[in-house]
Amino acid sequence: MLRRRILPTDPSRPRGVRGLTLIEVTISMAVMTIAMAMFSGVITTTTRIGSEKRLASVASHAARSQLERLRCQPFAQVWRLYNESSADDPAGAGTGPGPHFEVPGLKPLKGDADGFVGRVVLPHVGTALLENAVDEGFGLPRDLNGDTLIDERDHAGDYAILPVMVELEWDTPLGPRRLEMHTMLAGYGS
Amino acid sequence: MHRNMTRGRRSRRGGVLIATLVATIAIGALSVCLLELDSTRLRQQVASIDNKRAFNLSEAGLAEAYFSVKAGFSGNIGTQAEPAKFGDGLFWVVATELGDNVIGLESTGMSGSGRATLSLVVKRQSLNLASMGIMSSQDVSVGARALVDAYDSKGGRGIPLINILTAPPAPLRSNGNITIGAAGIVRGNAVPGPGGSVSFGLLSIVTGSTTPASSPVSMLPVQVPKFTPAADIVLASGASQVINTPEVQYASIVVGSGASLALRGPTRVVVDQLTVQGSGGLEIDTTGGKVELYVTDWLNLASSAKLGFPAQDTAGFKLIATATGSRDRDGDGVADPALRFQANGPFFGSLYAPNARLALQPACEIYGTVAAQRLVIADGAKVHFDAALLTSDTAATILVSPLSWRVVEIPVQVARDLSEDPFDVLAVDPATLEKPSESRVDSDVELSIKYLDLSLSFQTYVGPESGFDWSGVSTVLGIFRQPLL
Amino acid sequence: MARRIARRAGFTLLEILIALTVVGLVLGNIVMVMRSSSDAHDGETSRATLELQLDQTLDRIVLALMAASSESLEPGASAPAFHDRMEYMQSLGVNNGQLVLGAPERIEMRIDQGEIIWVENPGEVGERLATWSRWVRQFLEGELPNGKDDNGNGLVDESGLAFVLEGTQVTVMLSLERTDPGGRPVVYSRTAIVHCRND
Repeated sequence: MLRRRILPTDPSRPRGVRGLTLIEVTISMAVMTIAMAMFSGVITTTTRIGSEKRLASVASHAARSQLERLRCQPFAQVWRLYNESSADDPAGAGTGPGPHFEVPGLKPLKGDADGFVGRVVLPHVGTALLENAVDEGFGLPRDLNGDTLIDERDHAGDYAILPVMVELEWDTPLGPRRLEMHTMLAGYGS
Repeated sequence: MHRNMTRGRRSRRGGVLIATLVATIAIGALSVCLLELDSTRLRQQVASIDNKRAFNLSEAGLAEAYFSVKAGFSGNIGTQAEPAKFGDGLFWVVATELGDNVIGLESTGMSGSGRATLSLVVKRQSLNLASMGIMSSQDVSVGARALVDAYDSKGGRGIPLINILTAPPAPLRSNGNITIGAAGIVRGNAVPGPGGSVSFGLLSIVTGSTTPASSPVSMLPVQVPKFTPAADIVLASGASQVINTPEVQYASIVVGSGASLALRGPTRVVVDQLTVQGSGGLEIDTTGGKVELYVTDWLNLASSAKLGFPAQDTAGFKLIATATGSRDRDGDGVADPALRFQANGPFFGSLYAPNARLALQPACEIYGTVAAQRLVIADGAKVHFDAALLTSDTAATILVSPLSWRVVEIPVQVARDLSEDPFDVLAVDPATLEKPSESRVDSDVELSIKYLDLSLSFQTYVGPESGFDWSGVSTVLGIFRQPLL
Repeated sequence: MARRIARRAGFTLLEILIALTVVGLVLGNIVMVMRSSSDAHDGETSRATLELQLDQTLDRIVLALMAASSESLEPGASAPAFHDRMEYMQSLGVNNGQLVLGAPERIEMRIDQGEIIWVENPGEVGERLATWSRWVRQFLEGELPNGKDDNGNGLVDESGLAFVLEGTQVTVMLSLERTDPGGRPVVYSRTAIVHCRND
């Protein structure tokens, strides 16, 4: 009868096989760790992007609401109410809302000149509303008071159509963000 | 056996690595799914922002179209094939005439993947009586040897010398038919209503168009003001009175034979019944300002009553008679028509009777404009339309009232493709698109304008806008557009 | 005779112990990471769903009121009073030069269910209802039922859906709240200004 001796190790088995298994495990652990780290990174990124999206949604609602606010004002007064100058506010100097506005939930950019997130941008040259100003974004130069002419007079008092832009700039963990919304106002019924 | 054992040992090698690979692939797949889900949400978010932008661009289109209608144009701005470029997107507006001066404006805006279409229905009304032309909402009769023509006083006064070669065409209009008696002359257009016709008597002439209008012309609504009432005026023979109160109202004014009444501007007078008996005189003095006279129940200017216009200023006087129907108004048992306009003397101003038949007697000569529910220009009467009245009011003469605003369906071809570049969707090159003010789509219009030229001289022009040189205009003093007849 | 040493298939106890320990550590790490990532993702999904609901509901309200006739708005009481419901009629277009308004509609908050309901023909035969939002807070974010203006917006104890009417301008304030899978409350709020474009 052939007796089998059970040896703790099988000398016919190359010693390296045991070492390879350990390497395999080590490599596997390393790969899994890297994979999990990357997966974790994906989750973190989606969370951050979710936060970004939230802020962008806040911004878009705020931009739309600001344009609605302009529509609620008497059309002939919109330019004076929301331009950079407070001296020409219809109800008295400084009584108008001005171009800048806050947006709860959004932080202004570091070093922002006015410290506000939102701004109503109206066509202007200095404190005047000029038809012959050049501004592609507003479609200028163009007739603003309905006489067909494009002249160099200030039409702050007799415009019949008004291009408007609302601009928001805010800070996020992923960097500064910006949103613009363009429209035109006309004095319906006036 | 050794081989089997070897195979067994070989089959165990790399087992962990394969399992790890499988697990890593599974994690990778999970990450991709998460990212995909997140990018779907991101796309939803971006679409929501783009939709708000597109909505405001569509509003911009409505504003541009409204501005265009107010200026006398159709309201069409750009087309789907050539939209107007504005801000970070584009828009176009389709205008549809709905009849009775009601216009439907449909504006589509596109920005990124956002799309929006809005509708605004407006009613366009001229506040200027002259914009109706020489007008009848029913039939018009031009008597034998009667004359209807036009001229341009350029804001001046007096009886003009009408040069038939340079005079603008007379705008005779009806919502019914037009009948021209023997040897009657219309130097200009005689436009019947939809389905109407022009009947010519022997040797009668119309020098302009007689094509029926495509839609009826609305009579201008009238709002009769209410003022503090004053005591009735009854002027017996030899008596005279001057009304120069800025605003006053009477129930009855009777100017007897040989009496005279003067309305001295600026004044606005409302009277229920105005009677000027034969040889009585009614003077309209616009030297100091405009005169407006509203007659709400009975305008009775007997034959041989005298009308006087010392200033001979067509822009200075408006007579608006809202009286209607025939009934016995003076208690003599005989029905009286709402209007009896038989006075002598030329009339200078605008005469408007939207609810009654107005018969101009043979000796009548009107400088200015006239419109009535039914207009009868008797044999030999003359009506001279003053084109300068179209621009005589320096205030805006066209009122465009919004009637309805709502969100409507986006055009199918546009809604089908929500790609992020609207210019690609419409297959247009943004560099070739015009800005909104240059994107009007209009056929030629009739322009009436008074202006200062580059040397600051007063000028006027009446005619097709395509024939007008805008580069010579320094300041616009008055402007009016209407469709070319 | 060559001694053939046949290796017995199997592992030593030490190998097994080491392997189990290593596998346990790896699996433990995997589970921890997966759980925390899963929690974070669930939380984010929950927040995103809430925010989407908020945005969509507010957009629906805004568009409805934009097309409403300002004269049809009920309650017609003006600022500073707020209301948790708004009745209106939208424009359907024009007929014979006259504005044509649609059936009466109402947007209201049902406090008990924390829902926003849209009703067409309220109280009439042919009444139709639709739920526009769940998770509506009883009071606006930052507001407590104490008779004071806690959130500094000029209103006192305003509800989670609040309308403030000023002429043709309607201010709509909405707060939604839900609990995320981790049991933490998540609250989102928005304010929108609307200009009623029809008379």
